[in-house]
Amino acid sequence: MSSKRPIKQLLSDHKTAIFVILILIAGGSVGTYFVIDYMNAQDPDIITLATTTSTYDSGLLDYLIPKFTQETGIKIRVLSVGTGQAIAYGKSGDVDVILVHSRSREDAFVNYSGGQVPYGVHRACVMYNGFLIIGHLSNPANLLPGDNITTVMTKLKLGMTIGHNTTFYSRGDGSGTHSKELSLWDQIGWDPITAGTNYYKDVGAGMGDTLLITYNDANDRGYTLVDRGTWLSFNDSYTTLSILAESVVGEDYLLNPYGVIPVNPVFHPHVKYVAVCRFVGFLTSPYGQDLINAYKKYNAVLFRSCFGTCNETHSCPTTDTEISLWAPFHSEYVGLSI
Amino acid sequence: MKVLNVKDLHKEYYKDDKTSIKVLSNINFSVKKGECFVIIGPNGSGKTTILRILGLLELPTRAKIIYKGKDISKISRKDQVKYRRNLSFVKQKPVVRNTSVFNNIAYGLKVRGMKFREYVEIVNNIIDFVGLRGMENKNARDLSGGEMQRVAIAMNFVIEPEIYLLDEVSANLDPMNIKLLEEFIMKIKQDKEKTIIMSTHDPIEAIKFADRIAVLNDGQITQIGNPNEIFTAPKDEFTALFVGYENIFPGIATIDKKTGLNQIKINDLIVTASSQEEGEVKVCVRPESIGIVKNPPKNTSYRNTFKGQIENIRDLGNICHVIVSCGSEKFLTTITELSKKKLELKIGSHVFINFKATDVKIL
Amino acid sequence: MANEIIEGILEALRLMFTFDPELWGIIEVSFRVSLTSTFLAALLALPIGSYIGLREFRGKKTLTNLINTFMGFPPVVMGLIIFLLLSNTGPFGSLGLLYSASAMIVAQFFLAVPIITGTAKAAIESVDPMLKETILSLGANERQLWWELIKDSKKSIIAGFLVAFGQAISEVGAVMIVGGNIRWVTRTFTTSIVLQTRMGEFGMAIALGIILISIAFIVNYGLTRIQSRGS
Repeated sequence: MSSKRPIKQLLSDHKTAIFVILILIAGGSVGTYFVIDYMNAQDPDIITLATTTSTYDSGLLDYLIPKFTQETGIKIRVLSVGTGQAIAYGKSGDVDVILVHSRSREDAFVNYSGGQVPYGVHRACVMYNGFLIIGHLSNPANLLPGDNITTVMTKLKLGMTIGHNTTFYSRGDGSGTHSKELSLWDQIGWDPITAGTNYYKDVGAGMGDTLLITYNDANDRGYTLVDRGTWLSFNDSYTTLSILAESVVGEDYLLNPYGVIPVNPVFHPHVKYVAVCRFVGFLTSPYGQDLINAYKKYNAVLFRSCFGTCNETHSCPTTDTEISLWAPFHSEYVGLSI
Repeated sequence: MKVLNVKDLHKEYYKDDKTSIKVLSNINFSVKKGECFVIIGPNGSGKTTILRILGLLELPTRAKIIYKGKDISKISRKDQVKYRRNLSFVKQKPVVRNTSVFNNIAYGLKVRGMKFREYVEIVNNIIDFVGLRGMENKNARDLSGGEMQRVAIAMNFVIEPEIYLLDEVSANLDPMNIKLLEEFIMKIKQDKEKTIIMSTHDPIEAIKFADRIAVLNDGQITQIGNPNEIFTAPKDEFTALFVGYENIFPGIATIDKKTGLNQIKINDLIVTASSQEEGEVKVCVRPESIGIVKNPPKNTSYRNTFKGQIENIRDLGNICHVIVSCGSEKFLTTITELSKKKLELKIGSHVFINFKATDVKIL
Repeated sequence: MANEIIEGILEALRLMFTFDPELWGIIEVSFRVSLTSTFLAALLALPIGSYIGLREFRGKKTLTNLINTFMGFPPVVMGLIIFLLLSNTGPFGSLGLLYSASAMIVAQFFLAVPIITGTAKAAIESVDPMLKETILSLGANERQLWWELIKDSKKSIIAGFLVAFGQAISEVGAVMIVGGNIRWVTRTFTTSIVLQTRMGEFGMAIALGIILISIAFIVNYGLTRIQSRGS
């Protein structure tokens, strides 16, 4: 005349024991994961790379890295953040290597200054891509193909300040793209912010968002600076926008060079310096450079390799030391072809 | 032997705006082992509060409550649990746990550490006793009100505690369950080791069960005594009214030197009583003690006879309440339906009422 | 826009029926992180919250206030705090747990604890006080009383778990900061949607959104069934 079936009764009697066992099993599995993550953190063949969102979104790294891992067995975890954040991570040692495109900040990263140990060592030029000036088809500022950078920027300035028929959207977020844009205004010696024009909009957003805002400009007269990779992702959707200026032969103002910098193992002893060097070796080897040139998105080549030749492509000063430094690391990748 | 001794019990509730409501003041009583102690009083007098404090469901504002030599209002939580395991508390409205009837009834035994095979027989026996056989696996919350009350009774009585605290349990019971409850209480009373402390607002119920009664009015005990004392010698108007003295009149009492009896002047009436009081008094007579006749009685055993007119008649099934106004006062009497018919009483009828001097109580 | 939505639905179906490995990676990370953090939070917060609900004591009002405030703690701020703690320059940096699922679990754990504490406390407090008294008068000690009250407020407590889990699985800021949205490793539904949107892959983003909502719906449905059966 029991009120419970035998099994339920059995369970109820040993409630405490069963509960404890379940907790142990659950705790054990959770703990295992924590331990695994900890072990991974110590594993010398797992490295962390910080790069910018536009770099990551181009898809290049998802193409390159598996090939690298296949060759060396080294796994790479990629963090895609803003330029400032990537550099900050490098400084704090939260990543092992950074890949960014902001030369001035890269230089600051590797320089000794006033007794300060450098955050990074042995920067290598890897590749470059191009920036584009995108605008509405109506093109009120009247940019023409073949215009050099001075002409382009001056026309935009006039359109904003005098013609009042042009709106320029700036990312305004301290990214590599943003710094490039500011350096372009520098070329014509004009600062749109201090000039205080209403036609210069500081958006404070990522590349995709800025492009969207430009597309939605109320009077169809927006312009902005975009990297080619991002543009190719969106140009199908933004049918009223088109490329109105790109890099002209002999001019490298709209070129965007990339540098890879290992984090300084003297400053942060725990970084996996050896594995990072093998990665940089990969990127700068003929194999890696060929891969970069072969990568296509939307049937367009986005990046061009420039290791060892960057003084020709875009007046980069550091060449010879780099070549001799990284040459030994290329031996691993000899004989590989795409 | 005293099982519980309550001294100087006070309970106040504090409201947010620093005002307080005094619910119990200066309560003193003790309960003997094996007795049935009944606290009677109107709703709101504090009966439930006393029981809750005795059951340690609430703490008093100030008190000394001695049980087995310890003041239970000041003991540790662990000891509180031990104390509570010596008693059971049956509420007015039954509350059951969201599980089967069987598990509800078994709970008291389970928390005391009994194992299933130890209590299964006891629980099944009591399920039979309260007539819930067949429903033991049903969820207790799906039962009807009456069935739930039986579960509540069963789950409290199965633990056979030392002290039973019953808070107005009959108030919400249907007649069948009242009978069941009575059976239980009578059974417990036979056991001289078990003590019952109960509260009720029904004086008749108190008479039925009580060994001693405490009258509670507005947070204070006005009288403690055995049922006979309370009902035949109520100490104040409130108690008198409560136990059923409906006819209460203020008057001036003098002692008649010739008869040695009290003569109490109540406005234009003079009531004769067998007491020996003087001065301002209150006179009360039970309705049942007053008789109605059509003609003045020849019998002189009723020293009090008054002429009056029927003002109101209320039929209550077998008996009738008749209100007769005699001079300036109104008397409530009860007579049977049969008598009413025989005497052909109607509103406005002229009648005589009479009652004995010994039936007059002086307050 | 309609174009993208249709594309999204088709993409969702394609991903599911081809058992796309990246999708499964995302499912695994999302669920492992949210379930683990909610489970661990429940383990800690249920006893604490229910015990607070059980007793009256000085300062309970202040504590309640505190719990309620933390229930609404902005997830992204928690992410920042955990990030600073786990960063190499922080006190726990040497564990190297930043950018791992474990870091995400930690962040979501601290967000879930106040929620479960608060809901468990409220659940226990909302039990009919007459029931509490009946149980006490039957001789239950504190632990037995506590267990009975938990059983009685089961539904509300489970609802509290669901709230915490729901918040965890739809959270994006904290897991992005401490996890880094690393492919295969710390990428969840929410962080993937951010990434795909940013990359202009609206179809994919919508697909992930649809799948996420569907899974959440199924989980909730299952739990609701269990709840109603239980009563």
